[in-house]
Amino acid sequence: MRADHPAGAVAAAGPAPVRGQRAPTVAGDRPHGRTRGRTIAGRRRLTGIMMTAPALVALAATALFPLLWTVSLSLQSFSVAVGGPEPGFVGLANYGRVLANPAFWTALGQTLAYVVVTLVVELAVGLAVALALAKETAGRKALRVVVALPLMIAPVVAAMAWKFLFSPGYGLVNEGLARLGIEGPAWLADPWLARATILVTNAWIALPFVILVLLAGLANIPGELNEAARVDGAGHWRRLWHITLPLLRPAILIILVIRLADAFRVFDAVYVITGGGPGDATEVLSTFLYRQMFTSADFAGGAATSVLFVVVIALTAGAVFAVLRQREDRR
Amino acid sequence: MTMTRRAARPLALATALSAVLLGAACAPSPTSSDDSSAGSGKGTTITVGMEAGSPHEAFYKKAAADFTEETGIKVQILGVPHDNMHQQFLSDAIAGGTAYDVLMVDQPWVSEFAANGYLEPLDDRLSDEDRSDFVAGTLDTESYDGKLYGLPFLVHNLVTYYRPSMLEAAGIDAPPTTWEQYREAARLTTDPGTGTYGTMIPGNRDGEVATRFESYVQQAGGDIVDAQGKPDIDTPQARAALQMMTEIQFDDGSSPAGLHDLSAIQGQFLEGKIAMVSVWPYLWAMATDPEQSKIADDVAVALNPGNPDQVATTFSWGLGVSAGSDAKDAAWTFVSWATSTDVLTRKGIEQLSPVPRTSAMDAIAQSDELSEADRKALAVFSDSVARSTTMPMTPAYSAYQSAMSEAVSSVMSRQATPDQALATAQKQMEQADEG
Amino acid sequence: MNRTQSRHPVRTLSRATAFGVLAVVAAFLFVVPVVWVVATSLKPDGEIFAIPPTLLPKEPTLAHFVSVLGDESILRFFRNSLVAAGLATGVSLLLGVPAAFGFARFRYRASGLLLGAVLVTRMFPPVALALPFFLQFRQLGLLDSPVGLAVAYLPVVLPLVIWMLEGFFRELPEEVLEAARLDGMGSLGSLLRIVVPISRPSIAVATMFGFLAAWNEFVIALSLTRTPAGQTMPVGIGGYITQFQTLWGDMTAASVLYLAPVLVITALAQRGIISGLTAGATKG
Repeated sequence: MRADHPAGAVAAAGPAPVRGQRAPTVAGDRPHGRTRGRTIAGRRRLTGIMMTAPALVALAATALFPLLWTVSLSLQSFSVAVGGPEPGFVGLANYGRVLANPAFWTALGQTLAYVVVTLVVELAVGLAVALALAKETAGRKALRVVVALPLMIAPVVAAMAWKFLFSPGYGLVNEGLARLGIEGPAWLADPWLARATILVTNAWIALPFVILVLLAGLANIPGELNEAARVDGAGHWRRLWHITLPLLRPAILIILVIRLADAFRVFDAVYVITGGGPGDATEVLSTFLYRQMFTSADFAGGAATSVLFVVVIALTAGAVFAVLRQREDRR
Repeated sequence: MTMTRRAARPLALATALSAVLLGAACAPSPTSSDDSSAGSGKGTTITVGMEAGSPHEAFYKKAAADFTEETGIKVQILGVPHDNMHQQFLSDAIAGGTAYDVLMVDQPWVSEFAANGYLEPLDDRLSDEDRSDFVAGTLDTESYDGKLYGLPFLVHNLVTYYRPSMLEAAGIDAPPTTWEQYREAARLTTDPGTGTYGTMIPGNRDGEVATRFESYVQQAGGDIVDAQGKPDIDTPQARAALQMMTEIQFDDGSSPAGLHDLSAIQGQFLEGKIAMVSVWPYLWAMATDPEQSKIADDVAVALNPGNPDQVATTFSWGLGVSAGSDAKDAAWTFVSWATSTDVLTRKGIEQLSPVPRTSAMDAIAQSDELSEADRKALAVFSDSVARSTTMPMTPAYSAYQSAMSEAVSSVMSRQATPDQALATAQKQMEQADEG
Repeated sequence: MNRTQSRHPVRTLSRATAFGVLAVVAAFLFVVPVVWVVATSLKPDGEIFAIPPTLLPKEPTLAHFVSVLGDESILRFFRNSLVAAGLATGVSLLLGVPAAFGFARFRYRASGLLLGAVLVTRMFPPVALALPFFLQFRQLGLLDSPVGLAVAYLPVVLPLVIWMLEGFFRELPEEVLEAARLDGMGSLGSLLRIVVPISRPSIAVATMFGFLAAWNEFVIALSLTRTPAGQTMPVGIGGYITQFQTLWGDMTAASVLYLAPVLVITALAQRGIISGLTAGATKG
């Protein structure tokens, strides 16, 4: 019974309560004791500013210029010719041009679909593997090294390796299937199979991140919580649902937000494995942008695409973030 | 060389904004800069950008010592991966183009770089004697709007490599000269039981597929632009090309399943699994080397089959002088040395590849370093180039290639009919032509 | 009773079997491409495209390693990668750990917004950053230098470090910090003496992924360097993929050399994670 309420279980288990952690928010935003609260809150704010300022200045110094340059370029006409026409302010014309291009919408739709599917797959597989590896046994120690293996290979080489493995004729995937008596398909000649190939490749590259962040998250969960719940008679699934998952939420949030931005920007694997093909079946925003900037040398249009790109990612990430953090704060 | 005005404007705005936000101290000072460290020639050192890992880079890196000995000009050769050369050169040109004195230029970029003023016109520098020594038509591959912007060191096109033993076993005594014979020969040499196929039809979405498709269209007597140079891909010839490709791939099954790229085509041919493939001249050296090829003593070259024209689109690689270079004379000295008769003769013999100078081809033909088979292959390469025409010289060509490869790949993955694919490609090419 | 139920021998056995089967399948998927890369680096050219394909080389050769190491630039690529990635990671940790702590525990009016802005810097597509970086670095004289690259990698690594650690620091029990405060530690003192030691697993993970993000970066390195004096391993490896052919043997051989530092940093990070797990297990 009590296992339904993790906090209760914690209280019973003794130290390391989880609830107190939002104290700084409370102290910072809504000081209770007026005068004393204000000075403490003020000092805490000052500490916060001092601690974050160096990183913010460093980021501003390195990232601000390229970002502003891109935003500014997206509002201008831009000729790449020596002695070409002067750049001039064109308002949102570059954006209009990008939005009027059907290829942009194809790429956007496929990117969004890819992001959703890949995040679900990565989280589900990553969670299963991380839970399996969380406990300390000799075999699992070795397996933990194994799941980190994809990190060892440069992403471009990993993409080329998978392309090779999936190719008909000399690829090992179809050779393996043939040994099992199954005739393997021509993976990259079919739109859906080509999409699946991209998904598998990228999941393979990204899973170590997902698994290791979840493992680190699991490491932060005090062991006695599960123990107490177990004593109270909660089964595996119940403990997973009511204790582990809620406590993993920060780790999951980190994964979602970072992998979201990365998945949106997926490029290497698509560029290497399908080049956006067959047809335009695997065209994504990054390949569209790459073609626009470096095949067509349309830098102003490329800048507009980049800004739209960031807006889409930021809105999506913001939404995910708002939903998850809110629920967490309500908890 | 100042920061070019084009780049300066958005730069100035962004700089001003960062200055406001950061305090002027942190913001980069927008001085008109003459500070390029890598490219300032001073007449003694020139910087040459070449394709990393290419046989050309390897050859010129070795040969550059001779050049320095002859002229006193030092050469720094910088390798750039092919996929990124265009991007790298473009970025540098936008910033004033001082990083490289000499650029190795793939033909599709010549007109774009020339139109944008990144390359120096070379007409006044090339002597009439040299001009007439270049094989007819090869200088056109480096020209835009009537002016010469580079000298080619390689002009080549696709030729057909085949395994004589496989054709003989199928009762065929000569390589096919028409599409009909090609289709028939491919059918007869296919045996899925042993995993051998007659040929491989390209279909992966990449630039290579576009050049192959363009070659097929020209074999059918057409082209991808009309007489006025406007995009013209929705034609009977283009349809015939796609029909030939789909018949061999799907109706006959004489090409293995999959959307093939060059890497696969060449790999499977060298593995001995394919009877006939279209590949570039460079494959000859590999195909006859037992270390790299299982068919080293069972390979020959022929012109491509035609419908009826036995041609293939020619492409060149050349060297041009960067308009932003401050050592243009030294840069030109290097370009003319690198494409001289002596150097090209050496390159042709070492790499068994065709070269665009008549005098060098003659010298190669007489060299006793070559075997009879080598000589025959080189004759086919030259003949194939001589009877073919090149790509349309337009800055929009890269975009044309992109449109063609998307069309072919959507037909070969059966997502679109030839009619749909060609109509889409035509629209995309028109847009690129206008933009 | 519950305790004994879950330790029931039969259930444990069947679960162990299921776990074993799953583990083998998963391990296979994780391992095969890596083995393929290593095996290909040992195959003579003629064997790479063999039909039917074989995973392991029939006549192993070190020729590709000889060829890759024979080009002295590879050692410079290697050094540059280490300098750029190492420096960017070190500086990011130095700035990112306190920043994450500040964002997590000492909120101020704009901190939420600023934290969001930090992430936005990581959302820009790298191909769009290449040109402005190039123009700016050219003016600052930072082109073609691994130190310059490290500067350009700050917006790649620092937001990652801040985001990963901020999430973990938020979850630290307030009691721990309260105890530090009662012991008379300032906020910096409690960060250094309490928070960092108990957050070792998280910091290990953040370090590893921060390092990898810089170590693997390609587009920016390509744009900001042009000679072996500044170029990195990914750029060098890109040189094996040429227009007409991919030098599979040399490329995979270079990739095998490339994985050595990753192996070291992953092993260190794993030690951190495992020690954290052990600490977690014994905490109660």
